[in-house]
Amino acid sequence: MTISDLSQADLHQFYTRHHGWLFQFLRRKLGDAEQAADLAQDTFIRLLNTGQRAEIREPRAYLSTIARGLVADMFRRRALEQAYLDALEARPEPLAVSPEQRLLVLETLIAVDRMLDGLGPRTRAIFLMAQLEGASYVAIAERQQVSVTTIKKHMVRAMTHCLALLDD
Amino acid sequence: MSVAAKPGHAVLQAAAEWYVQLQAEQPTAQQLQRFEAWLHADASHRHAWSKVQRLEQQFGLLPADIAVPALQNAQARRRTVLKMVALLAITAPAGWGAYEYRPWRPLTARYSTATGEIKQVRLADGGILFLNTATSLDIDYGPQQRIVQLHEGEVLVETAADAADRPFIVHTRHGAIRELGTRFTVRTDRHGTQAAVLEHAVKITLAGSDSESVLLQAGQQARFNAAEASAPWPLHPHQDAWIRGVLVADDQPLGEFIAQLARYRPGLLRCDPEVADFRVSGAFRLQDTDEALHNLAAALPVRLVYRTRYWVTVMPRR
Repeated sequence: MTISDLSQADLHQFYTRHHGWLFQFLRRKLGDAEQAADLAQDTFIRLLNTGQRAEIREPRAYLSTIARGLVADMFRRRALEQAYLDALEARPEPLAVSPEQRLLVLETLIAVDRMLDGLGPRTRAIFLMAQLEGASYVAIAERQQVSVTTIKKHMVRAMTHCLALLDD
Repeated sequence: MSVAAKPGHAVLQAAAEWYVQLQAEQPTAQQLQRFEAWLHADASHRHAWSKVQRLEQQFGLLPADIAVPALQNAQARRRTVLKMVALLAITAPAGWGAYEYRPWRPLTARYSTATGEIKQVRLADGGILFLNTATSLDIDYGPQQRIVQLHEGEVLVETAADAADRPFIVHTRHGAIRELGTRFTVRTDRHGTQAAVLEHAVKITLAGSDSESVLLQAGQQARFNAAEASAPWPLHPHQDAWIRGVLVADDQPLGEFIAQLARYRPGLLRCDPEVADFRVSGAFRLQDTDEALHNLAAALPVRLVYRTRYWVTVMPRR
């Protein structure tokens, strides 16, 4: 059975069969019933939107993988949002940011953060210094007390990593 | 872009190397020529380079002074959150909440915990008490009532249905909390008592007035003394995480968080007012409050000043 050829009635049955445990699974993870209910819905919507054509042999494993990803996304978004607001607040002079601008920056932060995920903390820090602060490789090398060649190696690694993750 | 032009890993790496090379120093005419040649050699090279440009645009959207701290802090914070998820999966940490079974021989029994200790007591009727840090209470099951006299500290009660249908009541010096369901906490000190309902409801009767009573529903908590009760306010999520040996903060002011942590720690733990408004999120193991403090110092611009092992102040980092 593939998701895309499920009838309305089949879908209902699929939902009824899996909603209960999925909700409990998420509630255990989040410790919050309301968020768990939201993410359980999102999980089903994500599944439908994939237009999954292959047969789903292990619906539980499949759904919980999607759900785990959504939980990670939620924590990421929340952590970034807070960090962004903190950084805004920490500015010496207040900065007027429109809600649209704020959302755009937040979405970009999330995209960038996701790309940087697989990098080690050192590579990540070096990459951010170069890309965002616009620090020269020489300046970064001095700050990190390593050679410029080492900085370049980190940069190539980070850049290749990001390029591979960027949508085509 | 055709599928054939989709760059593989080697091409992406070559594009990254060119990018770094060109950014590193002012390129010579010769270098630029070689770069042009690489770019025109294959469609996949051009595709890879267009991705480099897109990435540049994306970074260009971010104001550096905001984005750098946000990306660095968010990562540190997420690590704490992930730690929390890992911790919450453990329901009974080893060596923690030592399980105690007391068949009901004597009708009354006294239980207590030291500072930092958390204990679980199984009741004769199948109910459970979790004693939080620095708590002392008496259990008194009579023919008419099941009574817990809470002298000091905090207890989480999970009641069980009673065959004899006796009411279950927690007494403090400020009043009585009668269960109308299954799960609640009571915390008391000299100044007042705080009741929080996790499931179902409780009824509070103030010691100073027999007629005055307050009904608390699930998700509510209230504080009272012998004479008066506050209006109910909502529970924090994870308010009962201490029974699993975890203290969870969700965007909580540091001062408040430190006051909570101090309950689990012998000696003095203080927070400098200058940093009291910093926000804390994460989960912290109560078993090791030193570790919790060090995690805080890593996540926030604060430092720990140890005057002695038992006198710690959280100060701004300079």
